[in-house]
Amino acid sequence: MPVFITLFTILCLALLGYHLVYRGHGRRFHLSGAAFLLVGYLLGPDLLSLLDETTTTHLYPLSGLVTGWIGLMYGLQIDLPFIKRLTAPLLVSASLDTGLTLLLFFMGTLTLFPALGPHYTPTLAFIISATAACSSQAALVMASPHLKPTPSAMALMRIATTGSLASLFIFALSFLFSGPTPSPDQLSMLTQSELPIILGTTMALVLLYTLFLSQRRSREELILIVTGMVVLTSGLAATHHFSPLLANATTGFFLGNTTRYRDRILSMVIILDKPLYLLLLILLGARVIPITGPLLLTIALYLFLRILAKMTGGLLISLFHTAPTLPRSAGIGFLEQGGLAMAICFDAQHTFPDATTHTVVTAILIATLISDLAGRLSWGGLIATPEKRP
Amino acid sequence: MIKRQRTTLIRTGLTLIGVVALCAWSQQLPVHNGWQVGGGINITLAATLLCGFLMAELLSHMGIPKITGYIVAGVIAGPHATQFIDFHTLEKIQLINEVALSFIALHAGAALDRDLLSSRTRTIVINLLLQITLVPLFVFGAIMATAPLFAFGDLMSQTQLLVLAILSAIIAIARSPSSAMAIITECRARGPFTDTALGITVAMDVLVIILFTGAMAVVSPLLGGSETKGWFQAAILGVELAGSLAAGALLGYGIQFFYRHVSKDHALFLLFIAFAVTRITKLTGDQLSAFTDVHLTLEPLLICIAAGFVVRNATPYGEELEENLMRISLPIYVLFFSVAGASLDLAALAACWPLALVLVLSRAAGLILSTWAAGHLTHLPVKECRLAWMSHLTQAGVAIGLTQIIAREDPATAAYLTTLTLAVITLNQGLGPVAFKRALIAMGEAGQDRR
Repeated sequence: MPVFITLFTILCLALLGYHLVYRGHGRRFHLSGAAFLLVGYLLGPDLLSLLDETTTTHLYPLSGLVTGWIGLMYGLQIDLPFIKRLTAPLLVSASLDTGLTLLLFFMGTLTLFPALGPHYTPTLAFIISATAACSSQAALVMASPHLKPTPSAMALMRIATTGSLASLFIFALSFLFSGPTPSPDQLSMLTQSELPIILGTTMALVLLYTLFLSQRRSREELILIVTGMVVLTSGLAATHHFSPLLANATTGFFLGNTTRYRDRILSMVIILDKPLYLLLLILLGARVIPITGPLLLTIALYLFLRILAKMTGGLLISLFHTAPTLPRSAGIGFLEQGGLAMAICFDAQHTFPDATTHTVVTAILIATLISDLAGRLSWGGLIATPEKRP
Repeated sequence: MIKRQRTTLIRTGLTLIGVVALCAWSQQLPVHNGWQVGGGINITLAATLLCGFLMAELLSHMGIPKITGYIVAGVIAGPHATQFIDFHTLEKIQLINEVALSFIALHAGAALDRDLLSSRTRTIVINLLLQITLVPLFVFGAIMATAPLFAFGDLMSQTQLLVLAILSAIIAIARSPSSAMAIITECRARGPFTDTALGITVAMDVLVIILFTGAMAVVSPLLGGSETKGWFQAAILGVELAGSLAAGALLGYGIQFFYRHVSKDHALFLLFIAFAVTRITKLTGDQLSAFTDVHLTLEPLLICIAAGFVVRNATPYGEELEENLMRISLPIYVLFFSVAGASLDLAALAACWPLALVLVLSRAAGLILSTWAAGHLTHLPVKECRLAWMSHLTQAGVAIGLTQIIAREDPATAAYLTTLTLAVITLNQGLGPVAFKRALIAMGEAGQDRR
């Protein structure tokens, strides 16, 4: 199918869906993004075949822009004030929740998952663990009365954000075990060759951003510069067989902490965030594979491990996080996975394309949807607890 | 002040060097899989956007319009110079170019305010009449007079030469609304001179199709086709023109409907409209050609101009539309003109630059005489009579499209015509924007749009 028909249909449906879901009565369900994933599946090779393998290849630049944009936004949010707010109890809580999830999933991927299919490599284990560790902080805001999080919801949000950032780090580790040209000594190659290249390129990109923004720029010029730089960063990452999501996140992190342009760039990034996120969901939906027995079992196993990890993590956190006090069921607040998990899935699909990755990504997507909907149904007891706002 | 300008200049130069170095370095890497190929296209697109923007900033310090900077960046990066953008990549990013053109056409249509134009109706009409008479006459005369001096004159039959001269003469009146709009946007120009120039430019792009339709009917028998076939071809072009304008009007009301019901995200919607128009016209044209012998394709440029004009003049959302278009216009203009620069056929220019130069000069002479005469007949200020021609030099888009039509009738003549047209466009796109910007500044209308 010609690329233009596909792109046209995607844009058409994304716009239509955007206005129906964000502006219509379905607004309350917009966080799950289920509608857009379904639209993507409809366009995919199993049904309408508008987004077949060839067409997806032609849409690589769009893919780079979408994940790059999300990465940059995350990177920019990790600034010094945010880091300063991470008190010791928060860090211990985040470590408990994320650490438990990562450990459970890493072990599970290498021991239980291979029973459901072949080729479960350490790379895949890192990817699965990284997606499982993600928790949506936006969901907690949306669940709060009048969008004003209570102190406990705020604490949960910070723990969730820290956990999501840790998941990005874990995702980065997946590149340690893979490369376009497999090497027996991947670790030394990473430290001696790839890491200096990544850091050097990041520094060059931050320098370019600085040079661009050191002059007074209009809003139109800023949109042009940020778009161009995100696409450039994604392109550089892809040619180095690295993740556009991580490359942009790293650039965003250094940009936010070493220059004074964080707020200007972040304001630009937020403007286009929503439509690009919807495009991501559609593109992801197109690569969902048909439901099979092993896939259902993978979904079940993923959900079981994740609920177990998050609920246990929440319970442990509630035992010593006293300011503010968190309920025993705090883990419910971490059940929703949000957009970062999807972005990691999308990136992994492109960087490590094989049958097992597609199966796992489909399983994670469906599990994410179930987690989001389940979280939404059960968090009432967690968030609606009467609590005095500061 | 000079020191500050120098600092800005150095900083812009350094940024440009940085972007180029980073992109050049990335090109040296070995490619193992599709994801890395996709990364390469990403880098090309980003480099086109950023380098075009920076080159324009550098050249603007010398008073050269930004659009020329974008074109120069494209030429340098293009397949005829450094080959950073090769023919293969150019083909892949053509989609973006076409979408951008539709977007710019929408902008041009939205800028045509009927109230402002009505005060200049007489000037515009007389200008159009004189230009469609004198410009083709000058170009036709120049080709017929100088053909014996060039090698191609010996290679073509007298009939082919006559056809080439007639069609080149008609194509010479085609303009580039996109370039005109880009200059007006960059200069933030507003005033009677600007409105007249834009009005004539847009109207001329419609008129050129009508005149070409007539010319095709005349030259078809000369090329071995029957007179009936000639008129059939003319009728097809007529349907294309009427259909495009009607579709544009409908689209305009569609945009009004959207604006009335949705209060946000208009810029994204407008990009979508540009994309939809570009692709639906191509798709329907291809489908029609596949199942019938009729080559009928609606012109996206005209559809978008008509849509913009309808929203501006027949609905209450004209100002809002123009503001929305203005907000996201910069990346579109940079990409479009940088890709256009990369697409400029330097090989064609090298092959026939002497004849192209003759055509450019004769076209300019026709424009000088017609605008001067029109200005005097309508009692315009002397300064405006003297400078008006400078706003009409740019040429692109429709001119290339028209040469493709003749290719179906006579490929040999079309080959000469295409090469010649591309060479003339290359020269006019170099000179036109500079001339138009200088005219706007000289008329005191640059910087007058304070919206």
